[in-house]
Amino acid sequence: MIKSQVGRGAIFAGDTPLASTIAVEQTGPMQLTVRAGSFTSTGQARIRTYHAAGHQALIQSGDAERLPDGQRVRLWINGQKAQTYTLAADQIIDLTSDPLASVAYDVDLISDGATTDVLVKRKIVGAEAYGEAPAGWQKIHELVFEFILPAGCADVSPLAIYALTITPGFPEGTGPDDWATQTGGV
Amino acid sequence: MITAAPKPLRTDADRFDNERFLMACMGVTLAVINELRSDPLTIKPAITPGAWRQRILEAYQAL
Repeated sequence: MIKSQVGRGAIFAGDTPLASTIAVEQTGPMQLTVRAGSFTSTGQARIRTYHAAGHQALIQSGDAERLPDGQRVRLWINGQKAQTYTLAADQIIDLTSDPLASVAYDVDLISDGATTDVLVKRKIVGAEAYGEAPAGWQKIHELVFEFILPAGCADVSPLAIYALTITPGFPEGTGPDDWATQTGGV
Repeated sequence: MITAAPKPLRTDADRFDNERFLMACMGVTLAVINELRSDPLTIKPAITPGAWRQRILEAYQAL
């Protein structure tokens, strides 16, 4: 069963632009499907109270942007703006277990700068290590956290498989003041 | 979708051994000193940083 909980896949975006519409579903006893969608990274920014005199020029040059509340401004650090990566098509992952050993899987969202894709890593537990993305590809974010198929597994439904989900805003009962660092800025 | 082929786990034999490395460095250094002492006037093109590194690597693997 695909799950997501805080600390294991569930992230609140807070005041950052972080967002994702890429969903992971179980589409067969031994099959996962990563649905097409987009992922927006946080970038790195400082959030400050908006002052027209100081910030308007930065907004016009693209080095800052107003937050939806209009009261604050997001100042990008060293041009590290949020980036949106689009996974163009659904990706079907057929899982295979081993008759004698446990098998671990881990799925990442990767990009080569132009294309966004899904990297499926598989290893025999205790005998192999995960392979890496091909040269030129970089990990954008974890999509499915490591899960282990027991030897001879023929159906992953009973397993807890944790996948990334991003919820806009803050956890209930909290707000920006409770989260001093949100986007890597100081 | 890209599938990453698994890699073999590192074994003890793959791990870098500091003591073995020091022995290799010492052995190569002594060998080079002996070469220089036996023929101090000839310039040794083999004693370049790259050649030195290669000798240490070979000595490390041979130990």
